[in-house]
Amino acid sequence: MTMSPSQQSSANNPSVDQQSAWAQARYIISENVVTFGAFLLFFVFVLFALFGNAIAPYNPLTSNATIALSPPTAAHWFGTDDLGRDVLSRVIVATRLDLGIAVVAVALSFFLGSILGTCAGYLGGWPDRIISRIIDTIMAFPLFILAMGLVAALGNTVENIIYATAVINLPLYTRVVRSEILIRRDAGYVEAARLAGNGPLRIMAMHLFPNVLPVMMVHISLNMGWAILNAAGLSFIGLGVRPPTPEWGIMVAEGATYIVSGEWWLAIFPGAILMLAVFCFNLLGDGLRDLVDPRMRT
Amino acid sequence: MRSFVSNNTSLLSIRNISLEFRTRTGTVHALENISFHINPGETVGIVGESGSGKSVLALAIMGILDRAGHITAGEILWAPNSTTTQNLLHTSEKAFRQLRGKELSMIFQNPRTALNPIRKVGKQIADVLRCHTSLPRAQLKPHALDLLSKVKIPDPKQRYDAYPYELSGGLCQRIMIALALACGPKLLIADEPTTGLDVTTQATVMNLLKDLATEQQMATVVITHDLALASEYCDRILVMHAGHLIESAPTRHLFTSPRHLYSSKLYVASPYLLISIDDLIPIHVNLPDLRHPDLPPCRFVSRCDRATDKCHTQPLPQIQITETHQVSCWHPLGRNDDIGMMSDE
Amino acid sequence: MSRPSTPTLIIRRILAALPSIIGVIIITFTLTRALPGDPAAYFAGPAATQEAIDQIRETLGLNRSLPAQFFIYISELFRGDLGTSLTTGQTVLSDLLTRLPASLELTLAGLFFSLSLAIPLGILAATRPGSWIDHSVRLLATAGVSLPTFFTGLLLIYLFYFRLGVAPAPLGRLSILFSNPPSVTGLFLIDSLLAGDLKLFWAALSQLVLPAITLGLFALAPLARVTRAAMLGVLSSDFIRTAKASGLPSHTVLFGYAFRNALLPIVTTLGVVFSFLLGANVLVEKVFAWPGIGSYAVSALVASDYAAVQGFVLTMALLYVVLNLLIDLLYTVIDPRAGVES
Repeated sequence: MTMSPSQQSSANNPSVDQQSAWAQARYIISENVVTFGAFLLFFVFVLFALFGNAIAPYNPLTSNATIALSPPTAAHWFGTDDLGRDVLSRVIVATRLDLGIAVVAVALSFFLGSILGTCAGYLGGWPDRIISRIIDTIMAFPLFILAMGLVAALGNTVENIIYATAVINLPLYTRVVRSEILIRRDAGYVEAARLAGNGPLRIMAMHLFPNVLPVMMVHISLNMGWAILNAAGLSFIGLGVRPPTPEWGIMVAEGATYIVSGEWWLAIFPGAILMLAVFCFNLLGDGLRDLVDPRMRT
Repeated sequence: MRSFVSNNTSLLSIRNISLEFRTRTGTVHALENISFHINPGETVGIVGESGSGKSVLALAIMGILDRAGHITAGEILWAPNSTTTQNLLHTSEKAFRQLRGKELSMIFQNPRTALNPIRKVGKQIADVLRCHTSLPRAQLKPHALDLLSKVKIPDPKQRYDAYPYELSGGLCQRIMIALALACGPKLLIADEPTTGLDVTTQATVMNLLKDLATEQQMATVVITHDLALASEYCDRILVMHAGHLIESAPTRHLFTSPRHLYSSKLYVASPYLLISIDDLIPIHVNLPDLRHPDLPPCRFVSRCDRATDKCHTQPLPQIQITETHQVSCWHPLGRNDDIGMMSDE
Repeated sequence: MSRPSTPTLIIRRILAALPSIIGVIIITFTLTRALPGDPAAYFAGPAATQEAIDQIRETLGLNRSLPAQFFIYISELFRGDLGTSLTTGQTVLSDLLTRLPASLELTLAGLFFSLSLAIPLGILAATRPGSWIDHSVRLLATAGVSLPTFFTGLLLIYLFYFRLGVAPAPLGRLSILFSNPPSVTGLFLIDSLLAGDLKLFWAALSQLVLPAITLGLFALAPLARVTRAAMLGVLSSDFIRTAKASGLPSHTVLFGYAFRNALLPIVTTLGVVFSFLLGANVLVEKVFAWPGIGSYAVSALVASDYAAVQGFVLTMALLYVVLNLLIDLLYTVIDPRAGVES
């Protein structure tokens, strides 16, 4: 029995396979350094979101008037705010709320948008017309302003921030899913499923939609950044989150009044971390897109 | 611009041109050691499969190659009259721009997409006139209208204001010809001018080109994969294969006594020149991958049943069959191998 | 296969915008009248007595059936009646009209800044692929969409006002030393020039610079990206090759032929960019205390001034529809193929 050269070397050296897996991983990482970096950063943010309270050096709510408005020092890396609270701790703990709002909102719009988009794309006719009309009408609004109107109408709470963000994200998912379904609707495997007697619901859920998932992962990642920005923007103008809850948008708003007098750390640190989070998700989305389908690149 | 006195009567002399494309997947050796010349007033055809390098050669002559293309050897000598010769490769871009469209012109396939979609066709002709002539502004439109009637476009006044999407493929090709001939060039390169047009339109366009060429004493290079077209309109034919110029001969000689196996096979592989489709003999094996670093000196070896060791090791020869007929092959087809229209395989 | 006349196309586009307007009105109606809770209480405000609430309910017809309410709503809109603001005491319509020019000036200035950077950068990046300009434009496009507008504004204030002292205090359109120019267009830059007051012009301009840059930076990324992509696409097209083969001068090829064609996708993108711009407007106005309709809406939100907020939402939505219509019409003018039934 003749073995191929790789088989032979592998047989002589049992750890080669292990090695090559590691070498493979190293290779993939070196090809996508930026994406890998973004992934690490993402991991850090998830840690903050989950264990923020434990990681933060100080209690984010404890005020101490004596050290109010002190610039960054060794004891307080990000300085303290107007009530003497540690800015770093507040920024870390705020991750949970900012990411949480975005994640839930995106999950909601993804879920609802996928259902609507799949129905519109696969069933066509009236369902498509009605759904598309609704989506077009939502898109007729400048989205951030629609969110403002929704929160004003529903009431100024964090839940409503989530719902409003979900509504304005809905058109994106509905449209993308719809067009992806349209592309695949007449594919061979769908025809086969139809002929095998599967009803439309089964075809949509079990055959069509799973094929759309990889593309949707890219859109979700890219959309997360936007959702975070939106939520922070809404809280910046005073909607949803109330003091003393730490949240990036509201922290920037509170710190804004102190910028003109030179106490920059109250607003700049939360803003910078916010920017970093959005940037991280955008890079992840770009990386995912290159992995899934480079043709999506503009 | 280098100019020196030359006795050469050729209008355009291509000498030992080699060209490569540097891409992410490797270097493509698109042209190797191409040499030929064009005389004033003659019509030369360049035939070959897609990928043989014909279009790339044309773009190289015109100096409008893609960024990734590099000419690594040779010279392209342009001698519009008997006293000046310049090497186009050493001509500055600025000077070259004064030649393009004025003394050297080119027309392309797919005429509809080759014209600016959001500009009136008449205006596009006027642009060329404004650029290369010293005509006053008011004269541009009348001149353009003149050109439109010269290329036999019906109702030129109305067509002047038309957009490409409003015109048929044949009309668009005539517009392109008008554009190319606007300033009376000495050489016109026509890259697949009739591809995509229906047969009757093809004939009209080619006849138009022939008439205009005679009238303006212009040399024409017709690049095509259509052997029938080449046989009907060209005085001489150059056969290209995988970036090599493998045979060049007057048209009649190429068809009655081709000397390169490829040329003879092209003939029987062409659907137009045969009586029935059953007589079509395809050429086995695909073109070699031109990115391969170790290409054999003759790139036809993998498709040739006459190849010997010499063909794998020695650089290609240039064998002069007659004064006007050259072939690049160590084993050219002899008199006994004549494959004319009468013989069968 | 020729194109219908331009007036016909214009009318067609306007008619096509009507469903959007109807949709917008239906949604704002739903937001103001048809949601759970007592709309009358919302309109009366948090400080209202039960009497006041009941009175509002009568006046606005909130006790009638939904279709009747819709009819009342439409007729109010036609009369231009958007309700009364609780905080200012004026009608919402007059509040909005007074403050609209400020927002317009800011948005136009931001757009101008954005386009004047995005287009050259995009063209440069497309004509020099692989160069440092190309890479920086691509980086800008990725990073630019990550920037929170309010953060950029504050950062700019800190750097240029506090640290470098070159920018004036972010206290609105004019410092208190100056008074408004006589109102012709409502845009201070134009009005001050019309009045011949150069000092006033500079004062207004210096206040406008930072907010316009903040707003413009937001739009810069998508516009630069689409300019670059469009130019790259066009530059590799067949007709550019023909233009080069004809020996046309490079500026004609680049601008007359290539850029004009690239404008088409750029104009299309402008529509999407406007959606974000109008939203970002609100944030920028808050940061720079700009007296436009954005800051009006923000203070109305905080004070639960319900009629004002909804009037704002409706106005912005209608403005957006009109802007999209204008963009559509612009596209029709630029592209002679638009409107042809294929």
